[in-house]
Amino acid sequence: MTAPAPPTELFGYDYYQNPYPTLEWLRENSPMHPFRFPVGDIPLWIATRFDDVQQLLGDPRFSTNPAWASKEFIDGGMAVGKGTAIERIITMLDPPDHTRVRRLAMSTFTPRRIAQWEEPTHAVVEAELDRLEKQDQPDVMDYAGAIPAALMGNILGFPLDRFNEMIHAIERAFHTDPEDADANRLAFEEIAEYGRGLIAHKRRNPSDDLASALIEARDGEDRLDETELVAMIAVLIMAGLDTTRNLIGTSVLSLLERPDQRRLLLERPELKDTAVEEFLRFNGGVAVGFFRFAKEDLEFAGVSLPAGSPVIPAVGSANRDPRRWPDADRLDITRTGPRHVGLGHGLHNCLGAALARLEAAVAIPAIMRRFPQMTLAVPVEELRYDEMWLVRSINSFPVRLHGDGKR
Amino acid sequence: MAVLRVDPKACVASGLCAAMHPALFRLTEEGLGEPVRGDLTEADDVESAEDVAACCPGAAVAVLDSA
Ligand code: HEM
Ligand code: SF4
Repeated sequence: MTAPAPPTELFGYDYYQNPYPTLEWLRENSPMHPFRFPVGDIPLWIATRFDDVQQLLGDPRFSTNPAWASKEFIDGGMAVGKGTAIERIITMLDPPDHTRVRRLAMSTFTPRRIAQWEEPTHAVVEAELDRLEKQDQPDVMDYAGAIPAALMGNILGFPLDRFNEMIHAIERAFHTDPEDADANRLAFEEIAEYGRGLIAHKRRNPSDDLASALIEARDGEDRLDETELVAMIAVLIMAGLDTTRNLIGTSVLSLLERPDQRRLLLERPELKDTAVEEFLRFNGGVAVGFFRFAKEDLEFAGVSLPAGSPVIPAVGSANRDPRRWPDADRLDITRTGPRHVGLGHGLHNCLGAALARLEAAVAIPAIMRRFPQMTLAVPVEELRYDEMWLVRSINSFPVRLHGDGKR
Repeated sequence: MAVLRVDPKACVASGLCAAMHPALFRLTEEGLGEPVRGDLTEADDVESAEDVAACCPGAAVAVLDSA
């Protein structure tokens, strides 16, 4: 007997271009689906229904830490950042390490503290719009990437001059089509090395910023080891850049394709907050969460999983589940329905959620307001999504800022 | 020893508290965090609740000294 297969191969080229038909097929036909990951040919499962994904993210019987993973998984070379400082990022720590590390950074990112960055965010966005307007070949992804880089640089306390290189490194790090066996690891190492350089500089020039506070937690109070310090700086750079860039990019694209929603956002600016929640639900940037490993032999969503089994939480699919949202495939910026899992759930829920929401709530309406005639400069079928499993990432998104009239 | 509160207006329904310490926190139908018990008498529980308070993305958890 052969297992029924979804319309496109998971994490193959066609899946990346449009994963939604495959995800819908999985939700309806095989909600806990066994398959083999293209890198390392590792057997694993993918969960696609909202209830299962949310439960998986909050279930203490699972861990994100590859210490719990099956031997096949480790041998297949899939442990994120293996052999680099990245293997100690917060996303893959268990309590009590997770608790110790998360509490060092959380207070910087609460909604109240992030609200203080509202004026700087507007300033960054206006400056980036000015810069975009001067480009010969304006690309929304350049705009979308520059905003999180500037904000995170301000918060950490060093300019992230090399953020474009980092975006490329992040994408290579999570590629399912690596150039060679070592390409993923080298990309992680490049990110860690960038972090180490910034830390060395900051140690000589401490100031009133998050990086200095984390360095003080290391050097002064010994609440972090050196690897954890590097991993924390690296994860803050990694987690906020490509995610936010693509939330902004995919949302602008969604609006260009839906003139009614575009008009609504311009006519009713007060909808910006529900709009951002809807953008996070509809195409929120993050496609799937990190692997979850069963810590024991267990039953999950009707499937028996041996200890060590890796399960992928498909948050992008959960957020389109018609069991939770009527008309889930329709973008409706006035929706006030139940909460999505676009920013995760449970222990590892997004630390930067308030910042991501602020950046999106400023950057998306602002570009639509500044360029009300903006159109895509190529047919939409020509846009390409990167073959990276974590984030739904548009390679380039050329536009005509003033429509068909002037350039 | 201490009083445990969740401010429902500040809660962002992350589900962190209930995943981190299911004995102390649970989620409502809407996904908001709420204390299982309002009074904490064990020192361990107070410490655990303080850990959750420091990790909560909404800064919605308060652990207050009871007089
Ligand atoms: C649109 C932007 C963003 C999206 C869609 C997003 C999404 C997510 C998701 C889904 C998770 C959970 C991953 C999992 O459980 O496997 C997560 C975790 C995380 N995010 Fe974000 N994120 C965004 C922006 C940011 C920003 C700006 C930061 C910067 C501080 C950040 C930092 C983190 C960290 C550190 C974690 C791990 C938290 C932990 O393990 O406790 N994210 N994010
Ligand atoms: S951790 Fe905080 S924000 Fe998350 S559900 Fe609990 S109280 Fe609400």
